[in-house]
Amino acid sequence: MSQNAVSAIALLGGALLSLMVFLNASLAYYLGPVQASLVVHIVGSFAALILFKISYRSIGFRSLKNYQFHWSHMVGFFGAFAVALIGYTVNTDIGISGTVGSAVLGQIVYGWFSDYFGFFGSGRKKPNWQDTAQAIFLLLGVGLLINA
Amino acid sequence: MGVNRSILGKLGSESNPIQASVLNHLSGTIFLAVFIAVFFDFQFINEFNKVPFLSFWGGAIGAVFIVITSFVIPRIGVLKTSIFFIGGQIVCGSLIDILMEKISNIPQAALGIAFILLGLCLKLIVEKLSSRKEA
Repeated sequence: MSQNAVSAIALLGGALLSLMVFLNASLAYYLGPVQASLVVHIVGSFAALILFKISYRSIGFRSLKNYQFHWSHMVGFFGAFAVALIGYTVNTDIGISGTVGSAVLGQIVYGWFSDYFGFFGSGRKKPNWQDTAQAIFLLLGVGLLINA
Repeated sequence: MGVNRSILGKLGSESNPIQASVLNHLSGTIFLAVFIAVFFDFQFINEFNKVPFLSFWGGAIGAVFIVITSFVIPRIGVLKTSIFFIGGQIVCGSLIDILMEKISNIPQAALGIAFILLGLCLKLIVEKLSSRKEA
């Protein structure tokens, strides 16, 4: 698959993400952030299992017979925290745009370091000047958007 | 979120994205259930009837999103993935904010989006310019 097609999928993923943030935040409004995060994860578990059921024949899966626990299998820990935090902040004064903007700052900085050092075995890719310029444009835009 | 994403990318390339997604949600569910049992209680279940039906679908979108994450990161890297996710998120998020009347200054928001899109397209523009020079 071409790089542009993969990029387009990522763009669509981002759009889905803000719809998700919106829905999750409305759930947090009624139930409280941590409680909403649990409901989100239970619904997500079912959705993921259904996706798994649909797709495992075509993509195959690793046998669980020789399953060995690895620390990275507790990955949901971070997501659980992120969903609760976002559920909380969207319902404060900073709203969706403020939440997304702050998340952008954290992710840009993290993405930079991650590509440079290859955190968690995700493979090293040295950021070039274009990556840097791109990050600066994005931060400018996010700043304008938060105050709009 | 960044940490979550790169571990998922790794898991996705080792096994497959959907298994990584199941693992992500199940471990998150277990962690949260324990957390709520220790620090809160399960009274919130009584509030379910007040919640709009649509609000429950966020988790399902999350599952699809994690499949997308695990597919994309090994192919274009964490930084590029983050940038495209942010682009889509910002544009769709501002549309929601405008609909919810949380954004009052639409021209400024549009300028902000323009900067973001410019940043996103920067590489494509540079590539086109340099290939034209060679030709």
